[in-house]
Amino acid sequence: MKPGAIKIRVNEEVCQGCRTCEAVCSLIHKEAVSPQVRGIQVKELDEPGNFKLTVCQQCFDMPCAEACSIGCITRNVYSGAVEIGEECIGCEACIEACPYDAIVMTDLDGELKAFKCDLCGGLPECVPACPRNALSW
Amino acid sequence: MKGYKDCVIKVDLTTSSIKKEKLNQEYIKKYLGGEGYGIALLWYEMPHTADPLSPENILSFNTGPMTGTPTPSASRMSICFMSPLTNTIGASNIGSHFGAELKFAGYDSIVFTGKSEKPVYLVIDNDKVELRDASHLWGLDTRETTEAILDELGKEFKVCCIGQSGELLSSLACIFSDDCFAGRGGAGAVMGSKNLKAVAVRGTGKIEIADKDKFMAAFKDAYRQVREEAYTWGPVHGYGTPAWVGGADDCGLLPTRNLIQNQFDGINNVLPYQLWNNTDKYKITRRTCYACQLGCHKFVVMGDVEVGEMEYETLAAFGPRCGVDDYESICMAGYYTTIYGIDTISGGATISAIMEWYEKGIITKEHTDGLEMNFGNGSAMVEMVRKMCLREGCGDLYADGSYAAAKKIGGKAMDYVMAVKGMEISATDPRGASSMTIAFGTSERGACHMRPYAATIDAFGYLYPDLGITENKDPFNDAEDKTWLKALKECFVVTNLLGICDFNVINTEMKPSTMAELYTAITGFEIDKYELLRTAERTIALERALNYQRGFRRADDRLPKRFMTEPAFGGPPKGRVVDMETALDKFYEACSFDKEKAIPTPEKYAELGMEDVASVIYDEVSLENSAASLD
Repeated sequence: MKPGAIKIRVNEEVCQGCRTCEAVCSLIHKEAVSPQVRGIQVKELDEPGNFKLTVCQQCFDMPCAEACSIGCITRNVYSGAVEIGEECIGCEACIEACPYDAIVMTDLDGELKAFKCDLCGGLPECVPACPRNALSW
Repeated sequence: MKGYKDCVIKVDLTTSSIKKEKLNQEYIKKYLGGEGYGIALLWYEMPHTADPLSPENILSFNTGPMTGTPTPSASRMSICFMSPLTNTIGASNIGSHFGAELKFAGYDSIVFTGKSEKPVYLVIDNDKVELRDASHLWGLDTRETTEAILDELGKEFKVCCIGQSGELLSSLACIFSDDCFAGRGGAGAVMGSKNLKAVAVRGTGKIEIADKDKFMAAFKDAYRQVREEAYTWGPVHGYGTPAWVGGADDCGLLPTRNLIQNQFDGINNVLPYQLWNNTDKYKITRRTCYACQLGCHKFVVMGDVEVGEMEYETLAAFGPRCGVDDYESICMAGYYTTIYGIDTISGGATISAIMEWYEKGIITKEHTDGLEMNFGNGSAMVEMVRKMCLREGCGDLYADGSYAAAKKIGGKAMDYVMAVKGMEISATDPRGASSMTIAFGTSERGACHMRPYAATIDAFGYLYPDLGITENKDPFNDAEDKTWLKALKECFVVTNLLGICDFNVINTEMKPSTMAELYTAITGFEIDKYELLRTAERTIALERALNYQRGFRRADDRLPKRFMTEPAFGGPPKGRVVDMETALDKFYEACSFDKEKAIPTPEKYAELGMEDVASVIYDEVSLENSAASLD
């Protein structure tokens, strides 16, 4: 596994845990707000006010793509993001392969599918939405 | 309509029956949702004179159409009930992540009626809703209860619960959720009276948005508006609400020593940097409600004590108001109110009334279990808060607030109770801003700091062009036209209906027209800012009607005598007293209220499309007259 350079970068020290990034992510991708669909995940640690942010590192060697049982994970030639194709069958192999736990499963559209950060096609919407400037890319 | 989930959970605790129903579209059409929905439930589905602590009282948790969306600070949920503290309507607003989670689980509201035989708690796991035995939770404090439930159900659940004060039916008891509170009016006591210890929810569903692109455009507008307000995005974003304390003191708005004074001599010791920068002693982190950009919640840890949130109101209530200027005592008092679950404003105000009674000789050490309750005695204050929360010893006398205590003590005690309709005035001296005189007096739930927080406009000199406030107002002139105050009040109530935070409008940040755009984008239902404000006007008119049915009139909208007779002590309002009657007249005129009954006139009700409400409260003769005058 070798993390990529163009990806969402996080500053956990200033995160306040409002989950605006999660909400915007699902809205942009699914026309609905849902905690199931989140390319970025906010989790509060045991100590109050300390948060862990999990987001795809757009790895150079793409372990998720290697693991995909139908080969539907590819790199977008324009944005450079690693994307999951429409044909995903929800086998969860990518989730096991991801070293960052950055892929989630969702059945929001009726079928169980994997979902991850695709940099919104090149201009990530969560970044300007963060009130603490905890995100950049 | 998108944005709403169109599903309400109705729980009859007497029979343990749980039903799911569709939203009542009539209520939504007229009152939009949130607080409006809860008040409509009280008006249409409860006997108007129901005792607040009886099984008849309806306790409802109502999210708004915006709750759970990324709209700035769209975390709010209105908890509505009849208040045991004031006997008026109770509408208390809570943030945290609970409201959003409830929407994700697929529900707009939870409505509780009846009374359970034994302690129970409600578990909502998406479609699955069940009541569970809570005997093992009874007697635990708020944090312990939350922890026990999370251990049982899983960490992803969000929990609303009460502490010991709620179980002991203290009229000051609040509902706790993740260090946020539905504080004022005694919601916790109502929950306790129903033997309902907690509600836990997990949701993984979705909230659909009608027009994504329009929403994102309006969302970015709203975001920019909040970020462009220098004070909000500066000190308040940084220090949280305690940032207000310096400005309030400068403007002579800071209640000091039970409002004998309006500026505090020990102000330097309670300025927020004393807490924030004292990093050896205090550790402060940010942890906000859902989708909040402002982040006013700061989590304070003092040594081994996880104090919880430090807010302006908490700081002002246990600090200047009690004459205490050390953060350690203020934090400890705040800690007890957090874990036992009482309202910090009324809690601090009651302590300050005890201090004045003690200094004036109305009560003695017999009434205080030997504590020397002089102004400024921090350790005695902390001990008294603990006793009050647990009804221990003399604490029992004060556990229902200063108004109830004064009635029991008798004599001149009532002269020193700084409350309206039984609810203690929050941390703004009404002599410093004419608008706050009216806001406290005419608030439907008792002296409340959010209906509206109008000192921003007249004392601090903000303008709000989108709401029609285009020139500065005189804070010391009770005879000025108060039409602007009516609009501002509606603007604050609109936030409660939509499920967003009052802090979006407190420094005139978010434009009402942007709110209307957001509502339209979310629901697909066209609305403009005037109609939005009108739904708030209807909600206020309905609240007034319900209060009227319970015997509230003009006399109940008056402030305590102190503000009419004792001139302000210092600062810009120095020497000023309140002209209550003129102020009330001006406001009633602006709102088209009947000046004696203190409710909208029959014509106003007709204009709002609320003839059914008017026909209940006005007798036939006056209605006929009004119909004739309309012709």
